[in-house]
Amino acid sequence: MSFDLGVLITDVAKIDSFSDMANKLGLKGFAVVGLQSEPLKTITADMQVCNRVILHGKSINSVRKQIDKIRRKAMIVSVPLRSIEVTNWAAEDKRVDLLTVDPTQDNRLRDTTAHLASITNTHLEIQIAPLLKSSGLNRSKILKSYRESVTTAMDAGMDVVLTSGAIHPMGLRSSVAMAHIGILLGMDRAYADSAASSLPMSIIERNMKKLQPGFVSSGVEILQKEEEK
Amino acid sequence: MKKVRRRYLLFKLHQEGAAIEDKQLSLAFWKSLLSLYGEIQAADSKLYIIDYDASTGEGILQCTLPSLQQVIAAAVVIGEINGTAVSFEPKKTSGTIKGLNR
Repeated sequence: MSFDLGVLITDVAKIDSFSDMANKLGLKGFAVVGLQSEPLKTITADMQVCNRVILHGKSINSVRKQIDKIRRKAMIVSVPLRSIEVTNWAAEDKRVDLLTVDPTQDNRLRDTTAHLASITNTHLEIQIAPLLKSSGLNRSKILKSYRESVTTAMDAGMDVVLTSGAIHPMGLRSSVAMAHIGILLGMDRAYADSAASSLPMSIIERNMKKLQPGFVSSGVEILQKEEEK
Repeated sequence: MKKVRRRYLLFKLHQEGAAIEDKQLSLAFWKSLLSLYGEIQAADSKLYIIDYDASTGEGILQCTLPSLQQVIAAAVVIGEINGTAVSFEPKKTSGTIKGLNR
């Protein structure tokens, strides 16, 4: 069972078709960008949809303001790899879950950013959608960008998660298929398996704990006596 | 000449649109394999579709053991075949066809 953290649909009506396809592929759920108010919603007994927010701010201040507003409403918060300042700030901030590689941009993942992210447990996100849409030289350039980022992240101890980045249900892949793309990107078999299935699930589980009302910080929780409940 | 071990892969091709014939599917696999890994790797894979049901999308393909990962990766990155959006799902691998049905 696995969770796809990167479904990029813009229409609520498409959630059902994605849910059907995800069910066929054995996924437990998927994350959509800004289409629902609740962090996690159960559609059917074995299918969940969670809310994801992508922070597109150009300066640290604008991203900081956005994250203050949305962190309690979103299950997943991601920042695309753009300017060094914003990327390093995001890598250091524990509220950011994912740093997304954008193969169309020249900004690459730096060693220093990866080290910061490994300390705060921020994951590198690789979306497979650009690989499915391209071929030949264009795909080769995307593969270069992804393989370099994956190697930098793995060397620095930063975890990598594989997501679909799908805008169409046929863009979804099963966790086994995702793992094979992970191997294509330079991961070993065991790492690719975890990048496709166990790591996304662990992010969801970690954030579910964080979003509980009694949570203060990791290891600190407000406990209530029986009569106070 | 040393005999190369073969592997059989049970797969399902999810598709949205017109049904895809086995020849179209085979050509798409070969093109993707050739594009990703080059002519020598594609030739060494000895890729062959043994069985394919166009209505259900389920099928069995055969390739050499060293090229199995490459064949699956090449199939997984196929986004569309002849304008039909597809999603390749590897289900099970085995050393024998009989093993796939167990």
